[in-house]
Amino acid sequence: MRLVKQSILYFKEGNSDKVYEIDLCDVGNDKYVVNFRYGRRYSKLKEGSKTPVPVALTEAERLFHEVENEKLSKGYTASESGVSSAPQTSTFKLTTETTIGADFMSMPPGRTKAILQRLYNAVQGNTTAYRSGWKLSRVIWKAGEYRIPEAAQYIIRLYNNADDLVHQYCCTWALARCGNGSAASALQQIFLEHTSPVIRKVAGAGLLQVLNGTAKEDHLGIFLKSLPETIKAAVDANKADALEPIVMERIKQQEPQYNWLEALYLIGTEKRWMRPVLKNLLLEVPLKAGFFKHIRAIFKQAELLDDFEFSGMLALRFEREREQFVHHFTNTNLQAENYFVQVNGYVNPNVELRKKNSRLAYSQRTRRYLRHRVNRRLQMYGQVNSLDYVKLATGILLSYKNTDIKEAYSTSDYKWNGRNYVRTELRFPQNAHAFFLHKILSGDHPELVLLRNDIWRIKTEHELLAARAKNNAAAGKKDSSGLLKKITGLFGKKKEAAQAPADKTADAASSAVNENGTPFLHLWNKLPQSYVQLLMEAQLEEIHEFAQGGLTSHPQWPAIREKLDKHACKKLLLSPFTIPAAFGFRITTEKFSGTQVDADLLSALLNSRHADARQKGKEWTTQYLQHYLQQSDFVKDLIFAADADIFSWALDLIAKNKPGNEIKKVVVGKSIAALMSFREMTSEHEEIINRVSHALKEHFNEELNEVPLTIISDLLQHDVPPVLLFGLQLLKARQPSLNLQHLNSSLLFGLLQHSYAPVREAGLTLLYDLPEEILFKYADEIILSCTSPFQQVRRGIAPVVYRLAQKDRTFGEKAADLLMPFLLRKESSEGLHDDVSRLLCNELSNYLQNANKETALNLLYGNYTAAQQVGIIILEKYTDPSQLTIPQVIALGGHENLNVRNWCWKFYKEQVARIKYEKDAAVKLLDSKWGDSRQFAMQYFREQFNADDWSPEALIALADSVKPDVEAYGRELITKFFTSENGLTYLLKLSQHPSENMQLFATNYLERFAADDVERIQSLEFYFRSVLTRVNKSRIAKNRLYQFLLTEGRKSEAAAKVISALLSDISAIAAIGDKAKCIEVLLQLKSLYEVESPLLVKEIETR
Amino acid sequence: MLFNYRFAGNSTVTSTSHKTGLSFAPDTLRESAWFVGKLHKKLAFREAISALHDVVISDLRFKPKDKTAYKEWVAQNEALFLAEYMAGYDADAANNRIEQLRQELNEVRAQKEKLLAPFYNARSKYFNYLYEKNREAWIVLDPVITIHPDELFFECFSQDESTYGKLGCNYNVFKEIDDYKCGTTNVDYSSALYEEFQKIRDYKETELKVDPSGFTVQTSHEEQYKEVKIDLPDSWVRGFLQVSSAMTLPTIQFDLHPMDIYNICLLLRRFKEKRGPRSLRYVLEPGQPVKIILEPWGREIICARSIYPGPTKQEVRTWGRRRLLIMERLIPVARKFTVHLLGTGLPSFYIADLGDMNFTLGLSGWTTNDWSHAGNFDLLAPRLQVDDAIKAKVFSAIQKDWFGTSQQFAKQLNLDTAQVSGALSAYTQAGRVIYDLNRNVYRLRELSREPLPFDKLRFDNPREEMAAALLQSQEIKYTAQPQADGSIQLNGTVKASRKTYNIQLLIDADEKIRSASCDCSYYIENKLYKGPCEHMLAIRQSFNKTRINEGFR
Repeated sequence: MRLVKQSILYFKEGNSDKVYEIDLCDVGNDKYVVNFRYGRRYSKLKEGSKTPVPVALTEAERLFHEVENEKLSKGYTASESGVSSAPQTSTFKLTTETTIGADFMSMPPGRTKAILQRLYNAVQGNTTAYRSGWKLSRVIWKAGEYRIPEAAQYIIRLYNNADDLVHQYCCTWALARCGNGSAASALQQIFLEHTSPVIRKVAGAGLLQVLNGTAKEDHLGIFLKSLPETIKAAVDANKADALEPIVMERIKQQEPQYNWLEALYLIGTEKRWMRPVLKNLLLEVPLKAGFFKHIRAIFKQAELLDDFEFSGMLALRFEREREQFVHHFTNTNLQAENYFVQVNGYVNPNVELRKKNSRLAYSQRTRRYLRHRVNRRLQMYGQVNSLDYVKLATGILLSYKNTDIKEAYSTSDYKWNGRNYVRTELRFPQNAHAFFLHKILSGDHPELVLLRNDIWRIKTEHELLAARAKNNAAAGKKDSSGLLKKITGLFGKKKEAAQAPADKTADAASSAVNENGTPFLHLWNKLPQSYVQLLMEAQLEEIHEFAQGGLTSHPQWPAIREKLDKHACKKLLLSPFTIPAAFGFRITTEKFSGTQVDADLLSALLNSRHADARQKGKEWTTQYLQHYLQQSDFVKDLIFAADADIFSWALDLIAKNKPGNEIKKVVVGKSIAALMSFREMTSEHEEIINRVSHALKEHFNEELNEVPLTIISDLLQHDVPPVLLFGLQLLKARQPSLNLQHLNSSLLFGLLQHSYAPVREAGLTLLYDLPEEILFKYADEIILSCTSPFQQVRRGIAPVVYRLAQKDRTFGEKAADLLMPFLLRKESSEGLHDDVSRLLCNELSNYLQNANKETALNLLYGNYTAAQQVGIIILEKYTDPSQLTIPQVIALGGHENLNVRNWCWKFYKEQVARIKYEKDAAVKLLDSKWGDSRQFAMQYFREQFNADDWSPEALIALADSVKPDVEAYGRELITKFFTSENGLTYLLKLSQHPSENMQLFATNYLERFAADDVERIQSLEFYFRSVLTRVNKSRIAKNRLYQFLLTEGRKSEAAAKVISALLSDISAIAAIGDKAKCIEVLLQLKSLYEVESPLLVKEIETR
Repeated sequence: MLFNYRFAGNSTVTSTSHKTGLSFAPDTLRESAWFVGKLHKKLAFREAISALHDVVISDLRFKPKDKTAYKEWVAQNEALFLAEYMAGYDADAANNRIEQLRQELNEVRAQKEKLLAPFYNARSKYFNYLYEKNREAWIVLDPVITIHPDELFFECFSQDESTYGKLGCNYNVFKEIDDYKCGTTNVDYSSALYEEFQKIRDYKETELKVDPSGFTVQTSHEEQYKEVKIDLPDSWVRGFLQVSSAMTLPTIQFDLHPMDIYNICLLLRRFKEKRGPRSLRYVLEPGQPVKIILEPWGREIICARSIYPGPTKQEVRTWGRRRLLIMERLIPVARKFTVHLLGTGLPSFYIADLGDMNFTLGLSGWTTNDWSHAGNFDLLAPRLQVDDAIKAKVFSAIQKDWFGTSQQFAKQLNLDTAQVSGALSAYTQAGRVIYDLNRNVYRLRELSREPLPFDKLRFDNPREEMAAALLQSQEIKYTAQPQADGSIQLNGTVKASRKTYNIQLLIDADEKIRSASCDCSYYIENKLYKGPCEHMLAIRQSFNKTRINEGFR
């Protein structure tokens, strides 16, 4: 294979840096192949071939060039910089030709004619007819704005007049708006061939307006193809439910680009079912870098397509949502930098915004511009008396949410009036920041003033007086008394307005004048259906008031009222807002009083939030009761009443009037279907469902019993817990006649893990009713449920476990074995230990015999009280005392749990023989750190042990204790059981005790057992020293010792030597009494025997 | 500073009527060292180890009385007191009203008590539980055991960061030594252990065991290993190092008879000092009995049987004398006490000669080492610059021999004695070697498993560091004027790099800074709330130095 020709192409844009290599190779025998490689530069390239079989040279070259051109046209270049050298300015030439006429000449003079005249002149090349700076592109733009269809032909001709993109953009835009079928081909060409993607997009959107039939379908197909696979599938399937989660998910996950948003919007303009999804989507999309450019594009497209709903919605988002960043650099400043959180660094916003993947978007300037643009468009529509004004305004008003409400407020300020400072209060109406709301509803009101294009303020009295004086001077008198009162009532206090809506409407009806200052009210009146729409769909009370006022004071109000049919009434009645509901009630009574209304309207009345409406509904129902009760839908609606009073009233009705069985059956079927249609759980839903299931059980019991099992199982699969609960109740009611064996274990125990408490409760009652043989099948699941995270389940399952354990011993043992380890671990949910322990101690206490001594001790020394409880049970019931060693028992006697100590004491009491046998170990209980254990032990040994049981060693061991009470006890016993043959042992051993009391005690034995024995005295030297050098203590013992030493020393010389050596040391003492004693003893001994002493007798000086 | 230990079980004592087995659980994270032997001198050992225990738990810092409960009570009853006081003025109606209100209040309080009773009960139960369960938490650092070829010693440092105790036992103390391996380790220590020590008797076999394999008999199913993490304050470690490095300094040395210690203890037990100065003044005259004066009572103890052997007349004052009560239990077993004094306000050491055992009690200058007393930061200053190669050489030599004098090492390594002792004292300051005052040898003893971060420990705060720098480089001038009440007024100037600062210091008879002022910004900003500034420290330090040079007279 020999390389004949190679082309390497590069592409670089943003993060993309790709290479495309095309080879033309000779494979011999005059055959050639075209291969290609592509991928990210410097990475491993993917390979492919354009020629499955080798071809002739001409064919190969054709293929080679074809591929090369294709890539070059896509922006690849042969230069390594990768940036296409294709000129950015438009080289596009529109080739579509049109014939132009001058039929506008016959038009009446006016705006349209003037524009057409200019366009005509421009086409003729005659630009001097008008002397004005109006640029041609602006003229074209205006033609588009006013949608002048005649202009299309000129625009096509003028398209090539200038090369710059702005001109062509304006042309395309205007063409898209003005064009009809004739402009289609031109737009097609622009869409397919124009170099600027922005202009292509405009053309693409415009084509949707211009095309129809299959051509439109084909055009939509292009957008559809550009969608990502998953979204495309959902769109193709025409399912809003499927589409919504997919797109929402994709918005949540940060993706590199969201081009599909625009395409999806354009498809949405044709496929109406997508509109709600798109609306939700566009409300969710954050106004942030990455998203914002698409939002902006969609906003422009909506404007282009006159999609007022979306324009209004987006306009409102720009009004409501704060900008992402603020900068105050001039547009030409490309040097200075500022810190931005979004970038987390210093950048120049102008430079950053020009980047393709800018990290900044939606500055305060953008926001201001976009709001301004919407406002400008509104005013433009209004001024040309276009009904589009009303449509756009309605779109905006409908987008206000009832969560946007901000109460009226006021600020105060002090102003210098030339003499002194006067406090002026500045009052702001409700929703003062809602720019469009006030602009549309009362933009011309004399008492409202807009501050900084941002906040609406109520004028102060001074301002009003000044204005009025001016007015009076200018236009004479205009009665405006009470206007102030009116407007403060309107904007200041929401509650008042809510309480007295009737007065308001009466007022509004009486005066047809535009007292709210609504701009372009005549336009509104031309389109009264927008009032109705606002009443039905808007969410702010101010808008409702406006719409109601507008409608009732409309000159053709009676005619309009006639047009409002049953469905409109229903919709108004069921509105969640006060004014529409009241309004709906008013119309309904006016229209339908005295007639037998349809059942569905009646149920709307009954479900209205307006109390009077409900009352009226009751009245009308009782009027034709029998008629209505024959209608199953009505009966079902009665049961599903949202209002608790209505519900109980309805239940009474049903109970009294007993509808027929057939009706009942249908009602049950429809009710279940309605129950199944609940999709989410809210507190109101929960209430309704509970009431419904209660009512059904009460009054439709027989019919319920006929509900087929398949439907019950469908109910059991339902996502909304109360509905599931209803299914369970049905199941339970049917249980006696049903064999529940086929119940799925995962379903049954899924109920126990359900997050909704009543469902768990129902699951438990189901378990209670199941026969044992079925329960045994689920033994493992039942045991596992004992450790459920829900306390209710843990406690509820206990009787079941008890029943099973009673029936089958092995089950009880297995349960005990499996549950025991949970007590040694940290509990996974609060209260688990307590519940498991309670279960083991009570229900399963007879099945713990598998637990051995080790388990018991493990449990006892575990860190949890609950575990210790179980340990005690095992210890008491199942542990053979002989298994435990005495040290273990004593350790239990020192346990912090009183029950355990009690057990230890019981052990001592019961096993006297063994205690006596192992007494050396057993006395250690006296050393326990728990006072009560020691008390017990002392009492015990006092009672149980007699002289024979105590050896001197054991007694001394007792007395050796460092605990004062035990030590005293030891002394008590020694005194009690003292025998003189052991006296010496006691003396020698006790004298080594470090405590003073013991040392004093030992002095008692000194004279009897140490007297007359030099060696013994010598061996006790430490004792003597220790006692005599106690600082400030042991006075009695010291005195006894001095006495003893003196008497002993006097007895023999050997003793005297030992004693004087001892006292010689001690005599250095500073305590005078002791020193004197030492000297005395030493002197006496010295006088008797030859002993050494430090005493130096000084001769008394004789004078 | 965080110390981590992993003890092989708990230290346990098995005591029967015939035998006591002491088994210390050492830190298994350190290089293993073990020792198994039977005690010979049991009672003396018992007394000595009890004295050591007293060091561990000693905490003589001033603890103010907790008056919050009382204050709360007063606040509650203040209105009542006032009403009672005013009762005379008013008619009976007011009294009735008061009575009525009081009753209501009592009812409310009774109600409150009743409601809160379970809480209070539970709380007190919880505290009792903690007291029982967790008493070990009160002991700061477990003692260190070092096993050397000639002796075994225990060391510990008190909770109040001022008292050091070391019990050295040569191998005559033991009867049968089964096995030992030299080294240092920390042992697990608990108050229960102390109680068991008290049961040591002459007639019982007593076995001492430091056994890394752990104690295997388990009665109460405790964990095999006990992991302990102790967060010691830096000041504690610094105090330890200061005291042990003070041992390497030259000292004034004399012996005391055991009864002299008894007499000191007697006076301390009998009297209570209510005002300063609370010092112990040693008056030492060559060839004369040592005279001890206890201020402020002025009581003298003339130690007739202890003659001062030194060449010059000295007078040294030491503070924190109540710490000497630790030695009470040693009096009957001690032959003599050797006292090492470094100088007024500096650490002092008392070595009890117990025959084959010796007990060293090291006391820092004051019980509380706060800023108001002299910072002894120069104790950790390098004595002599020795290069690292020599240091390493010396250290490897001591690692081989475990102990020895600096002369021995100098001879062995062919180095200058001064350099060797400089290197050894540097290691002492770093806590890796100690100087044994009893035998005058250096001993290898690594205080902790990892070497201590010595640089961080040298100074208490940055100002001490600055003061040290000032002392070295700058000019310090001062005049000292003794005041009528025994305090000293220091006026002086410190010339720092840019400015000369004027300083006044008033030091009272307890060597405590009473008042001070300086014209530096630190003082202007903080007064004395954050301690003295570097200039005060420097001037005080230089004053102390001259006093030491002049022998405090």
